[in-house]
Amino acid sequence: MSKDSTLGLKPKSLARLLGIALYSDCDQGKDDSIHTTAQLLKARLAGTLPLDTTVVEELPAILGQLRKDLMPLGGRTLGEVVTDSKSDLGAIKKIRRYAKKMASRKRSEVDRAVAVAIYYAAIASALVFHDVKITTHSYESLETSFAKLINKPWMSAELNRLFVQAFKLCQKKGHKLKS
Amino acid sequence: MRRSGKTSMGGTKSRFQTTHWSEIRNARTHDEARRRIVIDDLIRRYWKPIYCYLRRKGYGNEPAKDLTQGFFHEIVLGKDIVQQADEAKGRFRTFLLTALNHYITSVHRADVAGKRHPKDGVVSLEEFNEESISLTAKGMQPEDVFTYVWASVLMDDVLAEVKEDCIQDGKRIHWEVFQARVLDPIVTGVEPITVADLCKRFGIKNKVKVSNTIVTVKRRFQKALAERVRQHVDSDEEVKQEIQDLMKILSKIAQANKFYCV
Repeated sequence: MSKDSTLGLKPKSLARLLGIALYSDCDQGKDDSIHTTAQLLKARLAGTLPLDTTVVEELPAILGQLRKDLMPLGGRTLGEVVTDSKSDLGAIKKIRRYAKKMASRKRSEVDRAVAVAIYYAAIASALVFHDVKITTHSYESLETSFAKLINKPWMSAELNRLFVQAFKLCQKKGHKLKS
Repeated sequence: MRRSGKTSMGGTKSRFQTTHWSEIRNARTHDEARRRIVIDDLIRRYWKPIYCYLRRKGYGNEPAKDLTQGFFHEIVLGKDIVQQADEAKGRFRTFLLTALNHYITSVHRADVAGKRHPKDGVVSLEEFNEESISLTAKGMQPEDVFTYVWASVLMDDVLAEVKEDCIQDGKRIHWEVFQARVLDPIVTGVEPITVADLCKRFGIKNKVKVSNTIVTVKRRFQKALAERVRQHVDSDEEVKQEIQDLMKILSKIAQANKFYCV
């Protein structure tokens, strides 16, 4: 990339630049990290699921349709997958694994916060829409984590709703186990 | 840059209130000078994605240049695209690519296109540094290259406009703070500079002022991008969707090229 042009920039970075425009609720005076996190989360949720392409990469181009069939989530955004009750559990698990990897990488606090939000969003999605716990975390621990994420100033509205539902579910399940 | 047109986009200071659909329709005018301005503007904005698309499709440098020239000369300057624009609905980006593919099909051989365009060409293609994209485009499908370059040109225009506006309004520091805190981390992958360091570097009294400075430029960025994108879509409502679609496509490209990207 030259100094005056974005040509040559990685597509991922170009997508992030576009993502700056999607966050419009900027209130003056708020800490900028909130804006950055919210903006990055929106960009991530608007992005598509990075599927493991190691298998399908080997397929010749002529099998385009098969490749398409093997990647049924190719055109859906992360946000759509985790908030849709009809999403496949396998896809949600994939998102959880992916977000976990993202969170464990040495990155900025903002990146990590966004990865953690997506990680818990996948867990919440499996709980709320499939009634399945896709993590070894206890309900009690999940309840605490969801509570921490709910109403974060940078949280998107759709994830916030999901976390509230999951939080209530964990409370219920946790109490059941105790009694 | 015109100030006419009916849209709520951009507020009172909007400089880009017409869409390219209406611009193309304006090209119907018998006023040759006006027509030429419209066409030149379209060419300036769109030759790069078209040229890069053709290169990725396998055309050599010269045939790709010839085809690019031919496309603008025969299709964009010709009346066909005006008629098609009247009939078409939807994104200008998709429309242009479809028109280009029809043109390639009709031409068949690149050397034929070479004979068709005027000797002096209709637009200078010499300034383009192909190396700047060759590594990034490696492995991309031609349509992906088109969209990638399209987004890149769009982003360059927006960033240049915001920077210029900031400087003209005496807000150079605003721009530099935005660049250091927001742009550089995205573009170069460096950690964002802390707000405390920004205060020190730019002599800003407190952190809240730094945050406000960044928000001000972000808003300008959002407005400039929305206005530019508005030119390519049919309604204000489609602006956000088009930005999201571009992001989705770029994310898919990154994924397909094994860049670590969501």
